[in-house]
Amino acid sequence: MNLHLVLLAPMLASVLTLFLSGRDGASTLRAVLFFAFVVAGASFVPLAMGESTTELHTWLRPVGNLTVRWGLAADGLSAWLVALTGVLVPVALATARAHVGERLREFAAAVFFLQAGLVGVFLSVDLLQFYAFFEVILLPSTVLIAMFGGRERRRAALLFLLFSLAGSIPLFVSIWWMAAESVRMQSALALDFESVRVFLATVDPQARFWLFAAASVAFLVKLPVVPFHLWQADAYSEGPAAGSALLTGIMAKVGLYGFLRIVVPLFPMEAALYANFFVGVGLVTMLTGALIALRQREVRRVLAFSSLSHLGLGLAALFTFRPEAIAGVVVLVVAHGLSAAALFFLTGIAEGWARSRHIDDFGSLAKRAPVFAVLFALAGLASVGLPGTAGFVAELLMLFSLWKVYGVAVALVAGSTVVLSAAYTLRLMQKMLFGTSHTQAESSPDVPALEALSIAPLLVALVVFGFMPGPILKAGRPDLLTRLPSAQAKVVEDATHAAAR
Amino acid sequence: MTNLLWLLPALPAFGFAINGLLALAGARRTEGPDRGIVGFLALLFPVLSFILTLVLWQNLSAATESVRSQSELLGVKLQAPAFAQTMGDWIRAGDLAIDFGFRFDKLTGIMLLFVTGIGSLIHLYSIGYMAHDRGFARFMAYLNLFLANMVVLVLGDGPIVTFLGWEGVGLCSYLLIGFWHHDEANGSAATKAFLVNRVGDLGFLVGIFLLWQIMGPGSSLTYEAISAWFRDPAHAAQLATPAVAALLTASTLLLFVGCTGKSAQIPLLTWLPDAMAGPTPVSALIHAATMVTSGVFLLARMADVFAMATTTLHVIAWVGAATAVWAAVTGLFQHDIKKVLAYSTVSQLGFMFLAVGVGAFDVGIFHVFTHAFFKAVLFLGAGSVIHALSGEQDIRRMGGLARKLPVTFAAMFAGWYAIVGLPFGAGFWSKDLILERVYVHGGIGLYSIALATAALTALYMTRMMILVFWSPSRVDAEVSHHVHESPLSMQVPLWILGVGALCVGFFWADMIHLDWFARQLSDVVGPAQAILVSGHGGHGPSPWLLAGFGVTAAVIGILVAFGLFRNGAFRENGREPMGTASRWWMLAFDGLHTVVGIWPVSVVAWILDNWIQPLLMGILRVFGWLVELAGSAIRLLQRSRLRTHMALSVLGLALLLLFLARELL
Amino acid sequence: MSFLPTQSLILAGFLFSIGLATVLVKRNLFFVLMGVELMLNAANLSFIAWSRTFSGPVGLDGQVAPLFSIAVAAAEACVGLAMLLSVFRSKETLDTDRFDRMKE
Repeated sequence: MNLHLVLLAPMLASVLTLFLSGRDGASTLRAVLFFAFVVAGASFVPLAMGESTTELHTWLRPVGNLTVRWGLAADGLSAWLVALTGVLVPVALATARAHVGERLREFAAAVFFLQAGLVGVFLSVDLLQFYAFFEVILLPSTVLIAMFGGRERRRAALLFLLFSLAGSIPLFVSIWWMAAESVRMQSALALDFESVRVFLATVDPQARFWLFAAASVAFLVKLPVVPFHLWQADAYSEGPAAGSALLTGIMAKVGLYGFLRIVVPLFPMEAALYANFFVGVGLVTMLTGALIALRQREVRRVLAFSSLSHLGLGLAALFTFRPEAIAGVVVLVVAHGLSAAALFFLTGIAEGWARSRHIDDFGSLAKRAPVFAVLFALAGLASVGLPGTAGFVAELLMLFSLWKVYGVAVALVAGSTVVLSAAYTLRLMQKMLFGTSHTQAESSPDVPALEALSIAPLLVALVVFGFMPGPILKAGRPDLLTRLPSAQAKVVEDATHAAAR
Repeated sequence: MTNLLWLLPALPAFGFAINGLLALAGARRTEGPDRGIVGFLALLFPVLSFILTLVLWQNLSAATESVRSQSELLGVKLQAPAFAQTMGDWIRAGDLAIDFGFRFDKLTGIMLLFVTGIGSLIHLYSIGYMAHDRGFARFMAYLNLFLANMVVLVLGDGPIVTFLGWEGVGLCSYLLIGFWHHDEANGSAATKAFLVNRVGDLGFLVGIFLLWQIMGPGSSLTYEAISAWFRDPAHAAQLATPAVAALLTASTLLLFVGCTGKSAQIPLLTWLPDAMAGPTPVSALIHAATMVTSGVFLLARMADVFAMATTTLHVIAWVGAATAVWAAVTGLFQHDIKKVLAYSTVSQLGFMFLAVGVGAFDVGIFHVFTHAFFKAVLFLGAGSVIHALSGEQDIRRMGGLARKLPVTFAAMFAGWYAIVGLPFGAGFWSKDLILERVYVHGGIGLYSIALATAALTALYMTRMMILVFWSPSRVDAEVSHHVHESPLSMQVPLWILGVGALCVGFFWADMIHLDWFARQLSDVVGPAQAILVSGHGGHGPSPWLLAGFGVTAAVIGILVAFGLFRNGAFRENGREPMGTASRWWMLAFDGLHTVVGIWPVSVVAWILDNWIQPLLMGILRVFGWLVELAGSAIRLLQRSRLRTHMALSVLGLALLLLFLARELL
Repeated sequence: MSFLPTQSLILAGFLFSIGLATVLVKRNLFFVLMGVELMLNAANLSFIAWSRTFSGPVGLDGQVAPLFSIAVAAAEACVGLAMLLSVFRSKETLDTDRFDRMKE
């Protein structure tokens, strides 16, 4: 029941936000932040409860013996992701207030809607339920880009939407296919993850390969990896910065989450068989992202490709299936979620001062806005994986597992990220924080207190987790890939449906 | 006592926190926070750390004595005591179990004594040197942060904890090199330092992985466990197998790559001269006395590992020798007083690695120790000169300053006396120990290189001293009016370190049988050295004879310098003394980095950005066109007449019904 | 006089055809709406006819459905006419052929 509250809270917040008058900016902001904090509080419920599930009820019986179930389940991984979402949303609202101005109400409604979708994704136990939430999040995120973005926002939003849809439709088709197959085989099929896994084990390997490929593509686009990354830089740089922060901070993690929760557990044989392929794709993505990031001329495009690079490494590490790698990927999810989002938030603020997105139009912010500089430098260093921040723990574990499975050469290739990420991040810091000012604006204000106070906790958390990653490491437990939280849930057969059968 | 270890880094870290907040709070005001308070706080915490180190050292010495007497009584060799404190587990996942712990033994103690001691002195010096800088509080905060990280580096009980400090000092180095960040050249130097170090750090990490693999899964990654494993005779057979031996060589070489980055050895050395862009106290503390020597420290810390990897030791010795001679030659061409000292540092670091490479870990650390004193005093003296000349750094526009800056001159003279290796200075003892060990264990080739480098060292250092202090003044008239001796806060460290530069050599004056220093380290690196020495056996000629050679080399260097630069005259005034050849020599490794590192990365990045990205975009476009084409074909049916559309849909419905009817009937 | 279901079905068919033809042929939106109403009523008629064919509870369904549909049609006419009015206000015409803004 508690888990349902976690899902309901952002939905309610979204609806309630729309009923705000929106005429008085200050009170709208207060109300919206109040909602966000309440929802954030609710988001920590799964973390506090530990592993927990609701009962699984029959939700739909569309055809034949197919049962779609409804239920929510959280283990450490889901709980951390839900908590991360809850933490980032208030920051997004606080930092976006200057940019969206009078449309804060609409912005907040979309953000809460997105949050509800994301929470749904992370707590779903059923394949169709998951898919529904997976598609639901497209709507608010497209709205965020298309309504609050820059000059090319429509194109970026369209590209984003098309890529995401093209990626996820194969997943939907494969759900259909499974339904048809169950009818053909005259066997009952429930779509909760555990039942799907059992069902898939009986499916013809050739067909299963295609199902595996379809599921993988959905998450590879979301992550994204080369060559499905074309939407990413545009979406991140054209969308509102706070929205991009949510996109990279959480939505990109849906890609990794999908692999951790669906692709690998449901298709263990295929995942093991094609592990090398995914490691290769991950490393290519990592290198491509890092190298292209070196040449970008817009701050947020650098950050976008940096994101590509870090998550590429995450994918590569994940497919070593080492326990260290699983833990490392979970830490990466949290660490990158915090640091990349913080960078996007801060960039959004600085872009407001410079009225430009171009890397050369900033400069000397360390002198003009010292608080900003401290926050930005800290976030940058955390994303570089400096020891003492959570990024290091993730990087160490991922490199370790890649080395353990693939040897020194691959470890050195993967480790080049240590140097390359430092190269593009320091370039960014050099151009933005140091040097001489290039802005037209004579004096720029420093980060306002609300924004500073909302971003600072993210960075504090990064440092704390850098020294005490224990709780996150525990969430990335070794059997994460084999033990689905939904398997623990009690299945309740609905009386009417049972009678109908 | 042992549960106080965490205070050692925590004290300066606390100082950083306070000063950092003060600096941040006052950053946007025209006047920063009160300098008195900031300076006091910044100095207080390192001094407290130093005092704590002294207390710990006292306790450890007492404990060691009691253990030693016990073991003599019992007739068995007891484990040398060390203070250890585990703060809790840090990274535990799968086979990896890394605890966050500190370990205080004799090696750590010696390092900490001079890190916090000299660190405190340089904090004091900075209060005077940076007094007029707007970023005073920020500077002091960074220095405190550096000290905290350096303490973690030294105090860590395993390589990963050391790595935390290792990257932390790198970060502080980055922040302090780019301290005057309005100048973009400083920023580039800082970025370069960080990136070059990161290349090394990657080697460090992978080296640790390999080490871990040798020891077998599940083994804990602490220095204690590593030493115990490699000392254990039971593992000798395993280490002798070709596969493990190759792994060990690879591991140690990778670790050494990490050391070359941090300690500016070939090939990762170009960042250190550029790092002189930072304020002079930074150069003294970070880029001369402490951080850059952490590579040597790491090798000594893992002496038991490296003792098993003779191939790597050979590589280290030759790299050290090559670096020493290359940097010494480069130092000859420099006009910037800090660059002279920077190349001198690189060269001296080469000496240390040479010592370690021939298996003399304790001697290497001893040179680290003496070098910290004389190079710190040289840098601080140089800072004092620069301060007196209102920021002038070019030695061609100095001269005749011995009278005007007596204190500075005296201090730098002491530093010079020590570094060139004239009898009974600090450098004399440590350098001659190195020369002796190199002669005995390294062979004549390495020895002659080392001796030549000693002569070159005397040459370039004397050149610098002549040009700055003794030659006729070439100072601008405008500037020479303002020449003044530094304030007291800068003089006190100069005095102390100057005396140190002359005297600390007596901690291990081998020839007159003072070997306090060696005895302290014997517990830590003794077993490793015993293994290496046992292979060689015999002793060389009398140490006095070798010392004579060393001094002769120094004297020759000094005489040549006086012959060449007596009048401070430059025949090719304003040009490189040796024309373009020196430029090539100087920039050789920068060129190497460009060709091996920067160009390939840039080219691939360019291709990806300008070819691959558009190509993928183009493929996407083709899809888009196809869809559009289909769309415009279907659009022909759209007449935009409501009636037509309805007629069409009715037609469609009718057709559907017909179809269904045919199916049903 | 007896009332045969077949005859009423034929009548419903005629009514439906007339309605459809009106919708398809008339350009005035007002007449289009009237055509829609005609078709609805044709459907209602056929429901009634079928309810006469089957007796018992099943036959009742055939009488309930038209009641629903009449109610819905009334509502629909309300909304439809209101929309028609507002369309006329903004476009000053009810000619369907001139409603082609979607073409853009």
